[in-house]
Amino acid sequence: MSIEEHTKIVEDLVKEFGEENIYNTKVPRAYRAFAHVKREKLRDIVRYLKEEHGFVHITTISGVDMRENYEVVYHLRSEGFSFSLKVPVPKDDPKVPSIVDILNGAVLYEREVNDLLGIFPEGHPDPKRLILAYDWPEGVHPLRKEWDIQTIREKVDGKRWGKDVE
Amino acid sequence: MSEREFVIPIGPQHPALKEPESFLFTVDGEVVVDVEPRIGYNHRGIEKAMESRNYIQNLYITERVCGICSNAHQTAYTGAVEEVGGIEIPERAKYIRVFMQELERIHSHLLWLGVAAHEIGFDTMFYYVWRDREVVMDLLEEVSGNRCNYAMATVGGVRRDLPRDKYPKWHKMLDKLAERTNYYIKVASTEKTILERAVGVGYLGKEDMIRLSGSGPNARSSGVPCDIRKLTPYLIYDEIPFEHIYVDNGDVLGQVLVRTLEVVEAVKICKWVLDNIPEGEIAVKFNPLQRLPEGEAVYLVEAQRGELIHYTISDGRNMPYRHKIRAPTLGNIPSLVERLKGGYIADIPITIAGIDPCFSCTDRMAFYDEGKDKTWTWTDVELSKYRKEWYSR
Repeated sequence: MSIEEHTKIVEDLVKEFGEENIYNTKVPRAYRAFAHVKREKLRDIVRYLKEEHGFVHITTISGVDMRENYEVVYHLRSEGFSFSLKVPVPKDDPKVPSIVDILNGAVLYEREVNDLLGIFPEGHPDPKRLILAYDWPEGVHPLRKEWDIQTIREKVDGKRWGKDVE
Repeated sequence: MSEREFVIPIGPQHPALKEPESFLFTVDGEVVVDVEPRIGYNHRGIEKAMESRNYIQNLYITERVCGICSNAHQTAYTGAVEEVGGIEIPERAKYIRVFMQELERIHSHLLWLGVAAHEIGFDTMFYYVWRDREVVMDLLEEVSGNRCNYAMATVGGVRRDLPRDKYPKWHKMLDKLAERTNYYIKVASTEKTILERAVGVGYLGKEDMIRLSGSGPNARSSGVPCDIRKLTPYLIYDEIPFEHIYVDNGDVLGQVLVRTLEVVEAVKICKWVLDNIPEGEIAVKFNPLQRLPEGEAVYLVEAQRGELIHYTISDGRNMPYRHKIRAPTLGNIPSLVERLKGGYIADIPITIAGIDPCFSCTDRMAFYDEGKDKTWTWTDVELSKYRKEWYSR
């Protein structure tokens, strides 16, 4: 497959869902594409990509703290074509709709994002803790930018590193 | 849960392997009904640590994500960083990276074959395979100076060259590996000891595997053609002639076949690289203080265990804003859970070992019998005794 065919898939998606729901699309090279997607339309777009273009494989879900908001990035793959859908999530409402019923392979990745960034997958069949320890304090999500090694240490162990340690 | 069903927690501690992992098995008599994985016992905060180190320091962190796939992680990391920075690496460096990656695949698959033989109680084959694996370990040591964590790749190329006068010797070593692997393929497909314990064990069909997004030899043993080297070629894999290996057995035997056949292909690739490697520079200069432009890149690599993704975001500094790593084992756990359901307790070790995870489950198992409210623990010796009794009935 060539870069033209991959661009065509992305253009088709924009045509289907409209510029307001899928924007900032880019195809940096063959086999790779990125796009921003509205949170409300995520499930429809994932289902459309799965049914129309064969995106049945989910590579992973990344969570990113972009300072003014969060972004949840869904890396879907159809054969060799890796398409990353970025969903902006406001900081005061950290939730995304779960896509586990559409792509079953996402079951662990959504729990991982919930642990490390505190973005809750609504509708997940079993949204328990996956990576962090059972006795890890509630509300400490290490990949959020406001947490650094010192503040996590203070919260978890109640003491600081470095000069303050007696 | 009905009155007949018991919950068995297995794991998380295993003193020998580096990735502890826990499984809660619900069993009805001998049959596994449900499995619940629990990971994170080895969460080291690598992604967070990478956000505060520069691109050269991060090379050494990514290499230590895993001891067996260290070179795969470095290939993916350097590839992603070079794609963001628009750095074009020399042609010779690409060949050397492929050479290292395939040597690592040979060593990892042979290691797995030995472990699998041990798990099914065929220890003679375990000793044979690991003896022959020393050939590729020696070869890796001769190329890089190390038996694991080779530190070969760097941003902009590779750090060590392949000296031309060694090629005839390396060809001989690779020939020996191919010869022994062909012998193991014959053994695996004819020896009754293996067939009895491998055929039909941990079966998962093609549709289920696609549905659960499995990858690597785990998925290729169920007939899914998912080799990243063929689907989205990176480095020079689109120029190299090699077979896309997949079988539709779907069980442990399929996994043995996929991995051994891939070793033969990897030997072919290594020999092709030695025959065709061009002369030239092995790296372009990259300064640790060098800033990368803003941007992002997804880099997919076919590691030994499956599809490996590194996703990096740069905000214009000399360190990544965010670097996401997903190692293949996490992606293969949903399909592993499905493989275990409906199997016997005695088949748990080989089924879990079958996907080549970075852990083994069998060292200590605590059995919890809900109805009678008592707990007992099995060591791996007791478990293998139980396994022998179960299979000799």
